[in-house]
Amino acid sequence: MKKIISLVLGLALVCACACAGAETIKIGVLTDRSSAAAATVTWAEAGAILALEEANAEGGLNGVEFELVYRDTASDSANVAQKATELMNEGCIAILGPKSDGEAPTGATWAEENKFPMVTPCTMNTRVTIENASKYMFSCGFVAWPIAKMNAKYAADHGYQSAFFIGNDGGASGDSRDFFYRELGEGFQNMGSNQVSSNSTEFSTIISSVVGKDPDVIIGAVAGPNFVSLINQGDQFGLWDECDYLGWYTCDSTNTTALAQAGAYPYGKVHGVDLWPFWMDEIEGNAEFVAEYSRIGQEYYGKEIYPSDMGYTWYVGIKAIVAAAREAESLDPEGMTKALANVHFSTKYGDDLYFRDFDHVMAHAYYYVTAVEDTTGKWEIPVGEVYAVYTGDEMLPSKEDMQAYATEMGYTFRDLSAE
Amino acid sequence: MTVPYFFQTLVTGISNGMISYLMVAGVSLIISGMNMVNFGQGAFYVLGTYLTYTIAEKVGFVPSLLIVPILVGFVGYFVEKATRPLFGKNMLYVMLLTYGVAYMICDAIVMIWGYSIRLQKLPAFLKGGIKIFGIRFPIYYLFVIAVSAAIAFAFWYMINRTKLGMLTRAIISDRPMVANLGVNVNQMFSILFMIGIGIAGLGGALNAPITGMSPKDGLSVFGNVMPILCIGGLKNMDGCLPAALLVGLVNAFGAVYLPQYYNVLPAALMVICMFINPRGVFTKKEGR
Repeated sequence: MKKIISLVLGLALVCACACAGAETIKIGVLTDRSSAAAATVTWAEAGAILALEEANAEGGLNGVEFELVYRDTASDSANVAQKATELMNEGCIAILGPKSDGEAPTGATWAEENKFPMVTPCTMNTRVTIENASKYMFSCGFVAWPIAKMNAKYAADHGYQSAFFIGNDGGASGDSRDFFYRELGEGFQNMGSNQVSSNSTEFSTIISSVVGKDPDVIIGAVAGPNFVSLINQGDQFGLWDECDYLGWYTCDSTNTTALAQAGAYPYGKVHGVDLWPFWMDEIEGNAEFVAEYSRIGQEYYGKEIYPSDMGYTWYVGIKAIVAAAREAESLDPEGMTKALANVHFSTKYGDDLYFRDFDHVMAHAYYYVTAVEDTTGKWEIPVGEVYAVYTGDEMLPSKEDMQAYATEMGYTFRDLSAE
Repeated sequence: MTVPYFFQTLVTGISNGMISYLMVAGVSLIISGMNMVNFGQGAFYVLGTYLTYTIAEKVGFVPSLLIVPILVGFVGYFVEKATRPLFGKNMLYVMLLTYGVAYMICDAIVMIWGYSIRLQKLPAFLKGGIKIFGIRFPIYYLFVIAVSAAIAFAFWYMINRTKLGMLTRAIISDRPMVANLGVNVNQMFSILFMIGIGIAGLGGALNAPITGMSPKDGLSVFGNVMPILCIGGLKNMDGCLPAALLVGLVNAFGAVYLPQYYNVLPAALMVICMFINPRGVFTKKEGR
């Protein structure tokens, strides 16, 4: 018996030593696998894994593979600091996260205090870029200010005169509303605003109140279960017969799949911004990218997943970190931060992606679309009818815009290019 | 506010309240009959929703409304057995146990159905809307009101007109005496718990075509109905329905007149009501 125990312990020791010897370059990921918002995590992580696989297929970094290390914040900003610290102490070279815009200010504060690079795929907002700006924080996702501008342009082009806002309680939500009305000016009627908690799925009373007010358009800042519930209940109350919806993540399958499968999607009534035009076969390599993304969903999560903007932003975030690691003079936090600030890379949907020097926001190409039913028979979910394609430079606020806004609001604008 | 708009808001508030009532009624029954707060009630509600997604595909949505509460109640039977060793001990232990059960059920939902947002398709006869005072109202919401009202009546009838109800009221008044009279109190507890859980399951089933549910919603749903419990009275089953309707109406009219305070209204109402009567405004004050 003693011999058997000794043999087992010896084997375990050998295995541990072997594992410890397998070297990888760790990239931390702040994810959400336990809150209500975790319903979208498969789509998000699939994008990160796809980028990781591509990086390792290219040989990693000097033959050493990259590895993703996850920590779960449950989309709660109270958990961000602890989980990020764990990732830092585990030897990660940078962190992708946090996942939600509600956590982003805390993430920026942590990054600044710990001088550790963080690339967030959440929707960026002025609570981070102005109120909590950090040279260690980078944004690879949507940005609420240009979203508001694009929604405002669409509203103006179509002669809308009034809007009602329904959003969650994150920072991006408020920006998407406030900048929308700023863009349209005082002649545009603000018919009211409801901000609900991120786990709220009961909208019937809100919808009932909105129907009575009869706005031209709903400005929406909800996603995931919130979005599905709002659109479905709006459909049941006939809200989309009376007005349209303007938002973002418009053709993101986490928002659209359940509605389409239940026959409750109001095709032609939902408009907004997308980053990943998955339906556009004319984009070279798009179909293959979609197929690879789907394969990740089957292989790692055992489920069929359709394209998601959220997945695309996580993909771009990992791509940025990998590209920075390959160009960095050193993989320590300062070396990675400097490399991220200067990184340039391409994807199928944008040549020369980079983080702007003064606010560390990535200038994507934005597709403004109307979600319509696919007539080719290829897609069960809505696809986008493109209204306009904007460059990041066209729609993102300039340094002067941000300086002026900060002055107006009584904040200090921190020009990151000066650091 | 126009008359049609008023009535639409009124009916919306009533339907909102009736859906909440189904979850609160179950909790109140369990608290009243067993002196135990089931913090896992929300998880059974979500379990009811997810079971509906699967069962409705096989047998249709309306038959699933009969099957799902029975299945969820059956699961509740085992949970009640697990709480037995904690009877008579500090209530906090039961609350922690049931909250832990909620985590287990939510994780089981993830294992079985996966992490995705789902929505139940409505049968054709429940789709669409009808005009009430000139404003469209969803047929399905009227259906929910009707079903919930039927459940409320059945609940009242069970408590006040049946032997089971008589025993339940006796247990609430004097449990040891009922036990001494030879009634199997443990069996009664199992039945009460299963009914309470089953009602939550029915609420979840009715909710399946309305909200895009996520597995982990089971951990937060209970918090949304706590104000109703406190307003009606924790141990006052009769107070659940008026409290639920009150909160539903406050939500509905609050969304119209105070949209910026929408999130805070139920809690604010709870605080006001508890100042009036800490045991619940629909509970008789002590000494009266």
